[in-house]
Amino acid sequence: MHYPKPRHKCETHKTQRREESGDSRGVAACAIRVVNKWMGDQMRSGRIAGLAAIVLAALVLAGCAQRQSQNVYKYDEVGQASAVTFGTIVASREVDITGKNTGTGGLVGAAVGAGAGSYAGSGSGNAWAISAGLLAGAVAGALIEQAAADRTGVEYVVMLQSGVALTVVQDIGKGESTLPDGMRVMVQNTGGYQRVLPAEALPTQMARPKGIELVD
Amino acid sequence: MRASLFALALLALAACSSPVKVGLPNADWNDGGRIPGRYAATIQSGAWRKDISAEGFACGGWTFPTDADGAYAVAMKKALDDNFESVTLTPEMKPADLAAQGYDASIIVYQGAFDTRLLIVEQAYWTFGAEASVGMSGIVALVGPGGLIGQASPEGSGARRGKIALCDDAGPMISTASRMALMGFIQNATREARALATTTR
Repeated sequence: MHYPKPRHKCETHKTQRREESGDSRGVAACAIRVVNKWMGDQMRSGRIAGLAAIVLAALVLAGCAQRQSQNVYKYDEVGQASAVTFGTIVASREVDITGKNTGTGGLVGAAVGAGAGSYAGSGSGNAWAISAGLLAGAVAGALIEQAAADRTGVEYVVMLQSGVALTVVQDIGKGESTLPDGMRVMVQNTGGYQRVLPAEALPTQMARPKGIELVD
Repeated sequence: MRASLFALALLALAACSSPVKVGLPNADWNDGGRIPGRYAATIQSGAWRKDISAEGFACGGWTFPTDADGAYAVAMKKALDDNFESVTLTPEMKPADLAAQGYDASIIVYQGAFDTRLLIVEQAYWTFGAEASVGMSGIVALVGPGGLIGQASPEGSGARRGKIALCDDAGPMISTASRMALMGFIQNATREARALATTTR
């Protein structure tokens, strides 16, 4: 049987036969071989540092994703009325916030480590290299993701007008500053997320808003 | 062709949302009869509404706008009515105004966290299950004519799991978990309010 010239490097007559019969294994195997070959090229050309840099950058960027803060609202908060309570900041202090580790860093690190290890040694030595690379990559990836997600925030002690005291920890977004002690604030609650917002510009007393009186 | 249809189906599913209605929790709880006295009550509401997204590959684009506020405000007031002789809903009052208006004290309930999680897991080949868990917390305070008498931080939680055929089927599980969390929060808040009121008598 005559088969056309392969369309890409890893296509073989075998994969072409599988594609004709609707078997996707050939395509998957091809994709794996392409990725492996690319990683191999990176390794051989000494560009593994570049590869690692791409992975690290992706992890760091993921850690820098915008979080809810004083000035950043999530899309589902738009158009929602929120409850507010007024109070005064009694004290504040800087605190460390442990970021959420999604496990993505560990997975990506394990894949990169295993890929890098697959090009070291031969026979059982190669298997050991893959295992070691996988383990080291997973640990390094998890540590990098955790480091990217960890941040500092501020803990406010707020005395509400009712006399109730509460503490609220806030993320400090880019360009945002902490609020000074003694400042009049409002504690806003949106879907359980509480923001401490400045309220010094708001009046302490005002005339009751007028409704519309219907007159026959 | 099949890939295009699959992509179209994914896009259609991604745009879906199923509003979740949280029913009234059974917050009947009374231990030792109603506490005598006339109380003003301020029940904060408006905070326990959010869009809940599913975790996991399946139903990843589905959102469940959940509103627990309506059921909470009604059930919280009823629980206070069941446990105190006279309860009147009022805006937050200054301690000095309480006695002037004939109140013994003011019960204030602030809403706090509304933590939700919806996990969709594949239990067997093309058989999916949903696990909904909800946690609520807040602050209950008792304020007398002389100022704050005390405050406490009640919590409530609920969880529900089961099989689902469609993403939409996870909605009732969120509703049930939310109702359980509300019930726990309201019972704990009322219990704390009773304890604070009892210590002052």
